[in-house]
Amino acid sequence: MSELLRCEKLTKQYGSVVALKGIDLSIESGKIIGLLGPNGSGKTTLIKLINGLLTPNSGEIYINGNKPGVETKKEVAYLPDNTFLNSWMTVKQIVNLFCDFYSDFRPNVCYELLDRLGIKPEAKLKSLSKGNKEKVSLILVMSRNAKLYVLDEPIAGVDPATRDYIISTIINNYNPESSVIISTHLISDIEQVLDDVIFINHGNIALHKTVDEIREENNMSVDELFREVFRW
Amino acid sequence: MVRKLFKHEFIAYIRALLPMYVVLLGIAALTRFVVFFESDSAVYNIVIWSSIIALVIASIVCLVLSFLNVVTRYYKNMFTHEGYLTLTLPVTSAQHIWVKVTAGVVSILAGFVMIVLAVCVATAGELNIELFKALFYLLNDAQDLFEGHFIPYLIEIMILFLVALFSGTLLFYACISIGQLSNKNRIAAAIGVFFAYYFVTQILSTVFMIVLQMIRGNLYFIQFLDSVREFLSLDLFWSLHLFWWFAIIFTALLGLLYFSVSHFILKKKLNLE
Repeated sequence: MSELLRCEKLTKQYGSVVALKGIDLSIESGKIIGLLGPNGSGKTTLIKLINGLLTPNSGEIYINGNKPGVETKKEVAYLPDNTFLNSWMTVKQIVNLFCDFYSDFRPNVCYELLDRLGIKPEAKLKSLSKGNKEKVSLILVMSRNAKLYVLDEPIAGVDPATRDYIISTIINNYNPESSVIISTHLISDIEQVLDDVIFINHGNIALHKTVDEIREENNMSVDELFREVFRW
Repeated sequence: MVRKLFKHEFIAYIRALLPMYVVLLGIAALTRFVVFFESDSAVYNIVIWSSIIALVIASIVCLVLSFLNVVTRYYKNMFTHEGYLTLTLPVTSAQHIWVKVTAGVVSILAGFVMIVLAVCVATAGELNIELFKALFYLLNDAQDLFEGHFIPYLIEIMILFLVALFSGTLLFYACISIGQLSNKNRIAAAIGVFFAYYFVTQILSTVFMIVLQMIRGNLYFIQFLDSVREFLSLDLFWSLHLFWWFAIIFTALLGLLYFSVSHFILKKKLNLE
């Protein structure tokens, strides 16, 4: 397994608030990693930095050896924590946009997943329910054959059945040679699919271990350890 | 990638502006239809003037909306939730800016073309032919008066207009981009930057003119052009060409400066909320 993502002394400040405090991190390919932490811990900031949507105050990020830029955007599939699709577009138009710009996009996979949900290509995005919009966003991202999938809170604010659908879509469609970073605080729902976990708190990496190590060393589940580490 | 960016940019513009073009041409056609029933009645006068006023208002709205659409599209597509998709496409920030400004300028020009088309539709028939005849004679007279320089002047003015459209759009992009450096109230910050820039440039140009007047007299610029003209052995007509090209290059350089500001912020200072 090769190193896919490396952060070196990565720091991000918003005015006087330090969101990330010089973190060092290394992620290998072929893993599903849970980026876990309470609200405001720095998860989304780290994810935005990986995607080049924020500029670090200091430190570096390397994705497959490259700093965030055109080359890394070809390799990273990103699902933001909010709706990022243009609501005036139809499903087909947004699929065409992904087809045009991402050479690793698999339209047949995308249309098959959409068909299973009963979402028609002619449907306008603004006519879809919030849940279906989120599913379309996830399907678009998981239809890419990317090297790194970065999913920011993919299961937040959805019902348990949709959570199951989202998790199974991720598991069944990601490229096994790539890595998936899933940011969430709903650990019990996602724990069974994780290989590694990263606990992030107040802009620091509090823990980075495999799920097996946690179970063996701490004799508890990831969810239990999370509750213990982040107890008020 | 640039070709694909253009494709999606034009799709967005057509979707936003096409209904307005249809309304404008519809009003123009209605105006022509009303003219068809020409009479001296008061009712006819009210209807014809109403339709002419509606056409004028629709033309102004067409231009204003075309321009507003260019500015709001840049802001929405780059710095709101849409930015999460736009800015994670495998495209450089320079390509984003150039494609957006070019498509924006094309959409503003399309607005002008639609207005000309609307006037042609509203005046279709004999009036239209007379209008074009008059323009043609006017052009011929001007060409004689300016010893064959008038059409080249027109071309230079059109180039200047085009460059100014690019430069002006890039100025708005730069102001929006600078506004994003603020931690909060980013739209207000962008508007503030624009008015601050406008205020500073007005003060600077006024001070510049006052200083020149104090040093060299109030016709300094013309004297300067005259000395350049004499140096290059140009006649009065050619010196006006020199003036247009000076204006074109100066406006283009300003545009490049505005582009550099937006490019630097997108590349080095991006902080998408």
